[in-house]
Amino acid sequence: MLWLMLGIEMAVDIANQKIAVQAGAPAVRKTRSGRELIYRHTLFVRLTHWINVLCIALLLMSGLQIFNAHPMLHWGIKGGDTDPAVLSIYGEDQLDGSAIGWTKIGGQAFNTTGILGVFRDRDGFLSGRAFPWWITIPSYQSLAEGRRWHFFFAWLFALNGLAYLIYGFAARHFQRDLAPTRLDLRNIGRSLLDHLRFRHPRGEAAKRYNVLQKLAYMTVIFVLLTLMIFSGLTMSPGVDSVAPWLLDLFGGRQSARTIHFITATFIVLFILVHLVEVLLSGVFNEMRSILTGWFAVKPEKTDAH
Amino acid sequence: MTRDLLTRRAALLGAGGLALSGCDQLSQNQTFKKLLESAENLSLGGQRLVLNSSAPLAREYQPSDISRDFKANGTVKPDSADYSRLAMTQLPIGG
Repeated sequence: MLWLMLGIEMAVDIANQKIAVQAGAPAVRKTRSGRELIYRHTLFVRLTHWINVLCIALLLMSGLQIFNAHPMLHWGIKGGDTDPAVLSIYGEDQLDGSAIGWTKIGGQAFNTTGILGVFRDRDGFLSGRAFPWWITIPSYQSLAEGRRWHFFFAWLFALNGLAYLIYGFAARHFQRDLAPTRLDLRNIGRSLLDHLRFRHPRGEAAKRYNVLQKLAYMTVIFVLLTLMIFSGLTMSPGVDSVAPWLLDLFGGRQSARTIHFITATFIVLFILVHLVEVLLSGVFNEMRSILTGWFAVKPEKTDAH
Repeated sequence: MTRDLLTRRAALLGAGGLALSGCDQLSQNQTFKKLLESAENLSLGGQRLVLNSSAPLAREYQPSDISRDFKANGTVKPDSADYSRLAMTQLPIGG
């Protein structure tokens, strides 16, 4: 049912887009205070965005639950407790009854007591797990339940992503809004400087994504999220027997697991930057645009004042 | 000022805690469990679709590729009544 609704919406959006293109002008409104409102996000993009928010949050948290069942990352094909690990998180009991949480990256161990390895559980008791209760789903240790959450939302995420990809190409969202133009790429240095000075575009420039935004979105969609799906699939023995090239591509199931984890970290970094940018450029306007589609364009600064 | 920040922090932690215990409760809820499990049909169907009888077998490895310590998921000695009953069962080995 949902998919049918999305399909209809998609057709409507595409039709609208054609009309807009034929009329030669995008949808524009004015606010009461006279600010220009542009229709930035189509309903389809808004829906897939929020489904994605739900999926990625739950995938991250259930993913950490699954990681906790074997809190080590390896490179290559071997993933036993005694095999060399690129990352491991563990607790170490002390003689006085306390415990230290260690996070070991390569050969370097960091004391992460309280956050990773050893932390106080919800009830205040010391607990010896890798990621703490407040960031895993479920909050208690359960590989089976974590997997159930993970695979349900992995399917939802994959189907949502597929629908978005089809829409993105068919409605020319990628080609029109996200592909950097030659002019964009030439002015990349300037955009970089503007970002470093926290200067956000106004007027005509604010109606389009800037080049860094375009590159970030394209990287997340076509590199990180795609890598997530394929490294995830490589962890399935069934998929590996049908597509052994996945094992060669990632260099083994353990490498795939490590890449899955590292890529997830990059996605978290993107989300943090994404949220900071929303805060800096105006929470109300950004939230309105991702909920209703309408985005207010800040007018060009004039020297007359 | 500090008091305000603390209450806000406490409120955020409280809200986060509620959302989390919500996930725990959902994990235990039978209807929701069924919903989560429904995705397993997609996995099963998907694998059946690509893993037909002509699909190649899993890749083979050398004996030296086997890890020295092979990890058992969960426990090697489950404490359920069913397990101890079955563990006690002796099966005759015939010719």
